[in-house]
Amino acid sequence: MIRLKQVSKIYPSGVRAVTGANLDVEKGEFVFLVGLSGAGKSTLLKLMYRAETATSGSVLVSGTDIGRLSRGQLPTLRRRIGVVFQDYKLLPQRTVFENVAFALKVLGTSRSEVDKRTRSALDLVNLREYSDLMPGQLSGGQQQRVCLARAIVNTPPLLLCDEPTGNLDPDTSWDIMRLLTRINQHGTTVLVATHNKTIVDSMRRRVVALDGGRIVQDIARGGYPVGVG
Amino acid sequence: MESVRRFWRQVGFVLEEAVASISRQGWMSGVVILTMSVSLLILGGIWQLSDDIYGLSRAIGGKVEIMTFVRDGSDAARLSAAIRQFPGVTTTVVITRDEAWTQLQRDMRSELSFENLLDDNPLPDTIRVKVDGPDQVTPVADRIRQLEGVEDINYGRDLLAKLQQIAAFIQAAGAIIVGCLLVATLAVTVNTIRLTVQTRRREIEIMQLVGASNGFIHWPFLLEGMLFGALGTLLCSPLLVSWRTFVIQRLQELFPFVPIEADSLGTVRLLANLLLVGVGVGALGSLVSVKRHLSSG
Repeated sequence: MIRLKQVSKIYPSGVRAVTGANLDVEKGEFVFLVGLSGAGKSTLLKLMYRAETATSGSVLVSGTDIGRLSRGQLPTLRRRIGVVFQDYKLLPQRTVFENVAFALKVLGTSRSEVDKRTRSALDLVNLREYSDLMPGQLSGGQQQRVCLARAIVNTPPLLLCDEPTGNLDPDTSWDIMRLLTRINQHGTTVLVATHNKTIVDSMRRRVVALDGGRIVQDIARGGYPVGVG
Repeated sequence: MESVRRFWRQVGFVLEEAVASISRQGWMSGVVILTMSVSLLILGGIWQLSDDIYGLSRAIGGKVEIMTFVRDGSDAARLSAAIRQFPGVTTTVVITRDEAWTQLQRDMRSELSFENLLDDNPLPDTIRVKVDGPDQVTPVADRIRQLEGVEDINYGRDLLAKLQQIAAFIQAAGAIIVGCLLVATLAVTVNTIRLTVQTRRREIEIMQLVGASNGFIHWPFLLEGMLFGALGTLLCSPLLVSWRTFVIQRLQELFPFVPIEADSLGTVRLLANLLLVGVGVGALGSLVSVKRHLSSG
């Protein structure tokens, strides 16, 4: 699904965010990216949906070297990837339903299909009855679930989550993780960048640890590595 | 077939978004529309003024006639018919030497006694020629001069040259001022629309994330900009119409001898031009703002 070959990223400011990263993620896997703030987790995810381009090396998604994609080809890649953010990035002047439906409407999906898929995405995250509320009327956990519904409404084969529980209390964080597990069970490949030690330790999934922009550990069914923070 | 349907659904989405975002942004939209309206009002006002003054100088020029004096023994009616065929000539009137003589005697009766002064009528037949506009006077005069049977011609050459100079100056100065105002309007529009783009940067980000093409992302903003321009023009139109009436009235007071018509067609044409400018500037302003945002993001 994803293959990184000797990927490095140096920002124009000179900050070296990722250095020589090699990684293979198979279709249907659930992977944690762990490490301290500034370890390069977010940059690695951004490289996967081409919010950033690698300074050297290549990033392959479903066999395509996405660094070589033209601007015009980028939307096709993005339609196959769902992204969840720590700060939700919801549109504050639209209802929960509109926020989720927006992702489909932009792509020209028919009205009946928009209604059907938005409802089932909201069902999956247990927010159907909140459809008509504005994001500001929801708790942090609920907002993150809306963000999740929006990310999966287009049924992408790959879901990238950047600190999805970063702003949430432990109970709500578990809710989100359970949801991600369910989405993964439906066949979606899920990558989660986090520094939530408890969750990583409990879930016993593949853990890729980053330190100073380098991948320092890659354990198939691991916990939060000691000494990584 | 599905791709065509998808395209039209996207068009529907774009239209919905453009209209909805104007009302959603509330006062921000109001600020943009008002700013554009004020810019367009100044632009339209100056444009109108220069148009009207140019029109006035032409109207004065249009009063200039070419007096054609016919050589003795030539046929004035035949010459008049020939002149009427020239391009740019609107009317020709023949004044026979007898008519002119009678007229002159009538005009001067109190001052001189012509009966004693001259036995013979010294005046030639005359053709009074009116042309389309001041630009036509000189070329028509040159052609008349070359006709067989024309003794001499007379027209306000100096006055005409001066008027043409004034008209050319007004036209050039008007075009420069209008051009500068157009650039200023565009700059103001770009900057105000940039505010709305800023407030909607998350929307743009989400659109990019879910795979909307950059071309598609432009459309709601483009339409919104066009709507801003159209509403701005609509808002300043009543003021412009009253301004035009006021200007025409003042000009008429200053030049009572020239008939200046506040033709409604001219006003409609000006408003239509301004609407085009408003919509164009709005669209361009949006395009520049969004492009700048997309390339920086």
